[in-house]
Amino acid sequence: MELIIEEISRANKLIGRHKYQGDSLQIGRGYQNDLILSDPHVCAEHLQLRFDNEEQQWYVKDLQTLNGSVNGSGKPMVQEQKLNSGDVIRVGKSLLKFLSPTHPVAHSVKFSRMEHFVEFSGQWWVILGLIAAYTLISAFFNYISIDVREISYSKLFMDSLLESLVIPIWALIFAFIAFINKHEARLRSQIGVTFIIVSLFWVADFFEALFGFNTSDAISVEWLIFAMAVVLTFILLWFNFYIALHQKPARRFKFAAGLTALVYGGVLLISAGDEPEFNPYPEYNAQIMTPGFLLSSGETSEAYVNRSDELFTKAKEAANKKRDD
Amino acid sequence: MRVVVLLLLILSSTLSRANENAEQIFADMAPALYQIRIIDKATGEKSGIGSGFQIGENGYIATNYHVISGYAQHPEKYIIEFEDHEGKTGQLNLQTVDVINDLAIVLHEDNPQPLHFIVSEQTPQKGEQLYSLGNPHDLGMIVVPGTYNGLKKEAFNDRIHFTGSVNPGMSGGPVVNAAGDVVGVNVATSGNQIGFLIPHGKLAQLINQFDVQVEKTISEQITEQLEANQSKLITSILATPWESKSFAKASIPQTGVDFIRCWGNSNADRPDDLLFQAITQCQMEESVYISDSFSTGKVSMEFHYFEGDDISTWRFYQNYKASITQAAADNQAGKEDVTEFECQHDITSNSNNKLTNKSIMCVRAYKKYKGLYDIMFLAASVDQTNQALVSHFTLAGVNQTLAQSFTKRFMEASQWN
Repeated sequence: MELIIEEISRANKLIGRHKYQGDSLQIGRGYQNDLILSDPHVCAEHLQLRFDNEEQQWYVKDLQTLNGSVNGSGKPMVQEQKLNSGDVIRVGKSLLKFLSPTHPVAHSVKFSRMEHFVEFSGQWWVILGLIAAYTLISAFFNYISIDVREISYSKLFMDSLLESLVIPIWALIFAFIAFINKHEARLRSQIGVTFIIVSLFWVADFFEALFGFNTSDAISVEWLIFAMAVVLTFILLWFNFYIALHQKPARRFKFAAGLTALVYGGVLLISAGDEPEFNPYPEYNAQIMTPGFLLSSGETSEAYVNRSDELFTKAKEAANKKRDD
Repeated sequence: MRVVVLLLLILSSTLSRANENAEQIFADMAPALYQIRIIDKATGEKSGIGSGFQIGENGYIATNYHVISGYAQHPEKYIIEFEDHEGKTGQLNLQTVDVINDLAIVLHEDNPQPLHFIVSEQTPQKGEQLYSLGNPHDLGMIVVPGTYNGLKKEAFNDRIHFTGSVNPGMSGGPVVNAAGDVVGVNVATSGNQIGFLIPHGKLAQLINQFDVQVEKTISEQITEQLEANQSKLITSILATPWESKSFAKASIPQTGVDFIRCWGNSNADRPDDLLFQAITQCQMEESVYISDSFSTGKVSMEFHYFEGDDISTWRFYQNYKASITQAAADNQAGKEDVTEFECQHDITSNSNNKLTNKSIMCVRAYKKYKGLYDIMFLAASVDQTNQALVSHFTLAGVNQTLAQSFTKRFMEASQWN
């Protein structure tokens, strides 16, 4: 009878897969065994397997070893017992999974659009294009912020290039995570996808500027912008994990959401900690853009000042509240 | 030769007469002069000193508000003490204050001596010899002769310009004429023989209102005085229509009141600067002192013009934007005095559509002096590609109605030519 044995690491990684033909099988550290394990906690003769032709059933027995064996239900094996397909037995520090040739396998996974996107992002010409675009956009923003006449263009370009080369470091971290989990690193895909999603933050920044410029304080889009940043961060981490690890969707969601919460929780905590007890300086929205982006027709002075009633009320309430303390 | 001798004789005789006068006044009035000390209760040490003079038989003593402001703000922390010409000390009680004119009246309850100064009924003549009395730097009572030079020009609250050394510690001491009558109270110095005095009329006013004032708490008195002062101040600024003044390629308002003085500057001498920038700053050079960490009663305006024809609009705006992010209040105030600022912003256009701004208005309320606010307003033009105008003002210690009237007037006052 055929039997398949999978050696599994304690982190649930497949180390080796062996296929055997016959009615009996011996496992241990000794060289006379059919399956030779190198784990020092395993005895020279550790497990004895036999196939009962009448019952059409495999049996397994621990050969009274030093450290014993633990069966699928987590209990030490004391006597010969039935071995069903899919059972996992622990010998020493090693895990062995026993499977019959008829053991069912999961459905095959179709190449998803996600996978196509990831593959596409990982191509050399896409990555180079993204680095070039990112560098140019950085260079543009750095250029318009320079407040002196003499500009060192080579320095400007190098600074922008360095800025854009920070992004692959992020990708490298996830490629490394994949590597230590014995998955394909897929560094190029990580770099490409990270570039694309980080660029989306610029789009978010643009909308933040546009709204901040054109709307009054009556319409606050701050929370929307914040939500957008959170969602983008989540998407970025989701893709990073998608590329790095073969996780179940629910687990991947948990990982990405958890890390996003950690990042923004930390950010909020730090900003709350930095808030002074009393701020004598006004904090206001000073967002302006070039006249081309001016979409609002503008409030009249009269309406603007009348609207300030609310400011006075708020300040008065704050003053009264503090006096009650 | 003879003429010279004669001149010298005359000169020396006037000088000696002046000295005689000073000596006489000082000798006569010494018992009515006091050093005023603010004593920190916890340590028993002086935390501030000034001078004071008795103005009534019953032990009422006048001094500067700023001398006793520590006690007025934190009566639980300090006591007010006097030391008389014989070195005797005793405790004083704060009765009434006038923060606008920096005056206070304290009471020596415990068996005071009866000698006191008389407040003059006449204003001195320009050039008249006056004698300032006080205890500079804790060195002992002295008399400083000087001349009356009329009222300080372009001041909202009257101050006498006195040519003579008024030094720290002399604050609150009397300034008397040759007859020994009080014509002013020492208050400040600009150094180099320029001193400022509070006119005697302000003291007379405080004495006249004493019975009414003394019934109120110090905080109520200050609130009323600040309220009345800001009302007078803002009303006088809004009394006449503002004229328009050309400022680079724009027009900005000119309030027409002399106590707001303007200064200008530009970077035309620095052609390497990316943006051409011109600044006009208009402000009052006086403010109302409440405590070391809190002043109010001030109006200031600022206008900035930016131009950068030879750079891209993007670059112009990016650099121009950096200049409008740091606006702040013009007066000092702490957590116990004011709330934090509440701000609003929007795009606004003035009525003739000649200027479209990003307008920011921030308001903070006074905690002790209810109904008064500090206002910070900033309008940054966003309608021209490579030129910009920033109009900015701050008001300290005004009520809502006047603040809003002022803001409306200000918002309509700037425009492109």
